[in-house]
Amino acid sequence: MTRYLSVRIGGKSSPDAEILTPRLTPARLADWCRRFTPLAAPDAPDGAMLDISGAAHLFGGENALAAEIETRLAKLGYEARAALADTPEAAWALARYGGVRAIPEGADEKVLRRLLGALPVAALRLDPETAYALSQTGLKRIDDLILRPRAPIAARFGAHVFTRLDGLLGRTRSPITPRFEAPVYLVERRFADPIARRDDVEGALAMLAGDLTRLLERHGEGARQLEATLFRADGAVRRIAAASSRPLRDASAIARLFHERIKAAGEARDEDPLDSGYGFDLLRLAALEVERLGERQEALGRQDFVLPIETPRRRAATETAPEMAEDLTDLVDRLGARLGLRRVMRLVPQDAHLPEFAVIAMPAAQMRSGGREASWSSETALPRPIRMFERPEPVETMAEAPDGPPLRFRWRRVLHEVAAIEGPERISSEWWKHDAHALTRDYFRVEDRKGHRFWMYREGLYGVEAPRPRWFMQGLFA
Amino acid sequence: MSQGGSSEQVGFLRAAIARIEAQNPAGALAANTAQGRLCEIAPATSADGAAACGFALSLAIAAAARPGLIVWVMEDFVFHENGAPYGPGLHHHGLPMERFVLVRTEGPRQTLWALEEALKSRACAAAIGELRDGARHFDLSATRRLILAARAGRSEGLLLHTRPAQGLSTAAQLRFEVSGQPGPTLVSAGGRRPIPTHPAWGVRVLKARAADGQYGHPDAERRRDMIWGRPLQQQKGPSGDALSLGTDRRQKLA
Repeated sequence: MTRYLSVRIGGKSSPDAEILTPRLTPARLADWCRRFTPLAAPDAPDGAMLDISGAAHLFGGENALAAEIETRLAKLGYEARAALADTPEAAWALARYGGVRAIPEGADEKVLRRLLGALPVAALRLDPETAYALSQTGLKRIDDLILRPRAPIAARFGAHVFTRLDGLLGRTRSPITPRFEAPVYLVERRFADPIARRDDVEGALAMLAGDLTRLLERHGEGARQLEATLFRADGAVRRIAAASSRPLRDASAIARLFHERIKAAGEARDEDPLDSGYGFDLLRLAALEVERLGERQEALGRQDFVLPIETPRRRAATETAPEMAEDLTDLVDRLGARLGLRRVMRLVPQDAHLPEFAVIAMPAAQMRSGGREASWSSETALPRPIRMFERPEPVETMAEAPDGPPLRFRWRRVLHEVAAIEGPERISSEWWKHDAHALTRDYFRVEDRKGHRFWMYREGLYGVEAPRPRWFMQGLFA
Repeated sequence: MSQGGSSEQVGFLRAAIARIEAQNPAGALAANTAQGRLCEIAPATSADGAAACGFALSLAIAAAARPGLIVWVMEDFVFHENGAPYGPGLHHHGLPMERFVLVRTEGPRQTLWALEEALKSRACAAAIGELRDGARHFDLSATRRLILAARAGRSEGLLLHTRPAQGLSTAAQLRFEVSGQPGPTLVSAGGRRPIPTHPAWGVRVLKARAADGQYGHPDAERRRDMIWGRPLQQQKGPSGDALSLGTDRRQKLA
């Protein structure tokens, strides 16, 4: 049986509320409520909806939970009302118009009608106009609607009136849309006194990592995506995400990842990276994405050896030692955690015609286990420059014949005398893909008298595609 | 003979051997990289950037004889200005691409950190750090840290300067100055201009220092020419003094 709890924020109970806490928007409220259950949805304009199935007993029962939410919010300076029911509609109605706090679990329609019948039609969550129009016709309370024939009312006020009514009475079930999906695994730690020091937070995260590791181990899985959620005492919620390039089930490695993430945040802001303020009273660590991970080998007392999963990258690395593969992914993860995943890349060849598309950079950490990537062929390839400009740079050239190779050229304001040249290597545009107007390129490998090597091209066939083809510098050879 | 006397003699002998070894710079290049060291590579003129880069890559390839990643740490500015590393070209140059990782950083602080992490990690064979303003950000203490990291990870640290190195004061054991040199060419048919083949560089060893003097005292004025990518037996530069660094992979010309 699902149970829903609706929270509604009323006015501020203390004039200091605004000063004490950041404004509690529905999204912030939902985040704050996630300390009670992972499934919390913002409920605009003034509340949040929680799916508390299986979570209430952790707080001493439903009534105690509702009371705790109310007192905690009161401490933050907000008047709040929480109500419970089997459907989100009923919980919503009770939190706003209700006489009772909770509708007993599994209540039948008779009970529902007794408890909800007296509420005004606005409790159906209708827009004010419809509610007003209904009350003008004398349909003031929910009871008035229940017994009336449906068709005329639906025709006049819209079918949604009855959709809501059915939801309220539990005849239909409507789910809520939580702000974040419930994580696969979740561990948390609550503190009677908030902790604020960075070392303490990191220490607590390390402990949580230990808890999470045990959980993962029991299920034979490793985490790929992790998220730490820090609940600040004044209601603000901070999230720190970290990703790993291999299924991770090593507490110290998880702790190190978060250490780097926090450090990176500190560098970006040049201040307290956690913005701890009054301190955090709840820390939570979740594994958002997991992957199967082979059983841990208890090899004669050595505990830090994990059976490697076969991945293309790993295979290349495991030629020597499995612990090297561990170090390797560890290095990639740490660099990625601090600098950003997109900044640690591997180059993967592409089957593309144009040189600039012949290779793509992929985040090293995201190369999945068992992914299919093309590999660099071992056969002799055509000479290509070691560096390539993002945008080919224009070159002024002087040639013997208008369609001939250059004798000398000027690039970046320096004149180069051509000593040796090879070309053209003709690369036509991918006419089957792009517009037919792209010009053919004739590539030349050029060495100047001083011993510098360039890769340049002439765009357009002389006289056919362009009257005066232009030249571009695309790359440099060693 | 006193203890001191004998150690002096040993020292003298070592220096003598080192001098002899210094005549063969290949010794310096192929020197025991297993211990971890830091090299600096600077272009001779601002136009020699690509040559210096090619030489640094060659050193990385030599270091890749041992297993592990080859990490290239590069600032965004360099990436946009001096050209991005181009995979097919690196592959053609001989870099084992399946072990190559490119790391982009926002500034010297991150570059230094990433280099240190890479060198320290046992999973890294060589780490190239491309520095825009090397003389300013990579001082004695910063490079000292890198050396310690390289020793800890037994990896090869390569600091690649984007500009000619003047007023460098670093702890790096080796410093090379590289210039592009006209490479060997093939005669083309019809009396046209010749066809370029392999890259050639002129390398000067400006500094070679190690705790145990294993690199000797190089002659900083002497330029050694080397050609990359030809089989060893054919390795002979235009000036006749070749470095035997290339171990060749592609014998396309032969």
